[in-house]
Amino acid sequence: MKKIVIVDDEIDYTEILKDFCEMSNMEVVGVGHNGQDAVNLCKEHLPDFLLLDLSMPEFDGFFALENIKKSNVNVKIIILTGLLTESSIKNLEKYEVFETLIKPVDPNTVIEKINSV
Amino acid sequence: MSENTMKRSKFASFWVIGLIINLGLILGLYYTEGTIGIDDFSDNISLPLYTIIPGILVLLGIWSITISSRIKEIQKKSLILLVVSFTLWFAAEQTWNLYEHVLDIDPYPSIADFFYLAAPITMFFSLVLFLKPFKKQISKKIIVFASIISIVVLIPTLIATYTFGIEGNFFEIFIALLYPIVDSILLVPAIVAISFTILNKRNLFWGGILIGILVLIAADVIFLFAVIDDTYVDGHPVDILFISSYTVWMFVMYYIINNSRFGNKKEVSITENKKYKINKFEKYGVIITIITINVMVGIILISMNYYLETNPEENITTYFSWTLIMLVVIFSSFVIVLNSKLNITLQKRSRILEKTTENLVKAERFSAIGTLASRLAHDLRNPLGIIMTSNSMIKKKSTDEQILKNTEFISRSVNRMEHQINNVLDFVRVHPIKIEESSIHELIYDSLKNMKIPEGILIIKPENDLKIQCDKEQFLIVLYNIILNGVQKLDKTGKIIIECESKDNQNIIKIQDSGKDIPEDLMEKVFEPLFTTKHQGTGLGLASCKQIIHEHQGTIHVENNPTTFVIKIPREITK
Repeated sequence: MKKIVIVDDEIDYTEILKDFCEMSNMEVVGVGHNGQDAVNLCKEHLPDFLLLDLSMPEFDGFFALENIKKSNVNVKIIILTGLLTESSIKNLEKYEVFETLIKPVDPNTVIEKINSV
Repeated sequence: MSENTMKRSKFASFWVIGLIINLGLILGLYYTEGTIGIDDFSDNISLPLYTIIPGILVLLGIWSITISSRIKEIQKKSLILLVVSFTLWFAAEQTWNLYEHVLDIDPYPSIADFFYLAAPITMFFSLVLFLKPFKKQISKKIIVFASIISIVVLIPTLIATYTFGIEGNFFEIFIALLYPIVDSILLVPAIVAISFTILNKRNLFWGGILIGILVLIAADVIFLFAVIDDTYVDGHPVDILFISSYTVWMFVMYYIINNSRFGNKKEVSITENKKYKINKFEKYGVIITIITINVMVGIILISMNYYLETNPEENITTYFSWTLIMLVVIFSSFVIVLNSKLNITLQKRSRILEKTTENLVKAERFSAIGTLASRLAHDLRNPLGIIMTSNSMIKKKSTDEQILKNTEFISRSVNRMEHQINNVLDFVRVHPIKIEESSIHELIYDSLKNMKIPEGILIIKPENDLKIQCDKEQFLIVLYNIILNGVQKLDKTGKIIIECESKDNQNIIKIQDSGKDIPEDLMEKVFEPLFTTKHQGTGLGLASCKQIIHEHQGTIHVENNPTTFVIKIPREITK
């Protein structure tokens, strides 16, 4: 069973995504709402996948990407974002990201991506 | 300052002083002939001078040709023609002297007339050759200006010559008319060259040559009126003008020969100074015209008074009146032309200003709309994500047919909203394009990947693949929008044929659908932002396509029968 961490500032979205993942035989080991949560949860649970939003209050997705990279945690990251600007595309090039998807994302696509590994 | 430059400026000032003393001497001799015991100015002064000065001029000319490689003021061909013209003048003066004072005959037309006419024509070609390398720097306006001035001189003298010559036969009239015509032809390059050399850069050689030409033409005009008036005798004051122009030329020839000794290339050559452009005409055009016209009117009035005083019985006023009328007409038209040019420039500039302001306002508004649209997109996509995920959840959990049908509606609505948001974002966002090589097959495959195509619609992809240079992400938007446009138009059944080819350094992609034609009056409008015939459209899809293709330095248009969108982008996109 694959271990998943979900981080998004939209609480409803994390809830429903968690339910969907669990229904699709994934183990959601943690749910967070900002970049700091993402870093802590990844360090703590060493999940297989991190579903990460980019724009979040206080500590955003890039904060998480930077610190996960620094802490050498081996986790595959799927970005789920509402807006991909030119500058964020450029910033993302610095990190190893498994997949970038723009919301609204069909949850089945996310599951397919995770299962593809 | 280098030694050479000092020597040169010293020489130049001696040269100018020498020239002035020389001219002053001739003038002084003329006015004081009686008091200093010279009985006849013509026999003792002007006739020998007509031989001596052109003679020296020819000798100096030949000398200058032998050292032409060191002369920087003038190209060799032009110099040779100039010296030929001096020789012709010398020949003309000697022939005329021979007729008048040795053989004591007065043939007309004679071989002297041939020399007199050939000389300015040769000089004209010399000037044209000199000006040829500067062709691009000489504006049309200055040529028009020179032509107008030459017409000012030509018309009254032409009328006067014709009236005078009317007594002779056709050939005699023709030869007489040639004098003012040749003079005015010479005047055109002379004025152009004056504006070129004197306005832009001081150059004693060309300044002197051109002043000589002007003096000679003035002398010709005065000579002509004196002949008409029958007041010309040897020793007439006009002789001073002819002698003066030869003297000035003699001095400039001496100047270039002497100047060739100074090896410093810096200031002399004007051929090296090719960057210089005549744009001063607009600045000084009006002033030069006013000064020229005023000087000419002044000269005419003074000579009119002189003639009327000396010959009260002659009805010379007609010619002067004609001249004055011509001057006023040409002056007025010139000022009108200049003024309208100025107005056009002003209008052009204000139009550019308006356009720039408009673009600035548009850009600012667009950037504000862009920010707003991005924020709105983000805020809408998040709840859409929740709806979509919840919907998938319900779909998975439920077996109730009604519920499953409803989830399908929700799913379709979410897709529609997503598409509209993407449309708006694609249009308002300004992307710098990132060119990379992509395959048409891949691009088509990727663009169809996320599109829901009804079963009755057949999409025929091109058989051949083409590698094109484009921004992959942006080009996908174009293909997606056009294909989707076709799919929506077909209404569940039909064909979409995609073809591509490479022709004349262009990659051409054609997307054809078997749907209804686009009404002729809407063919152009389909690419306009916010234009749509669909209830669900934003009217931004094809507008974005056009924008993206333009950024690829290409074109897009639509043809009917069958409806075909034709995209052309260059094979190599320059950055």
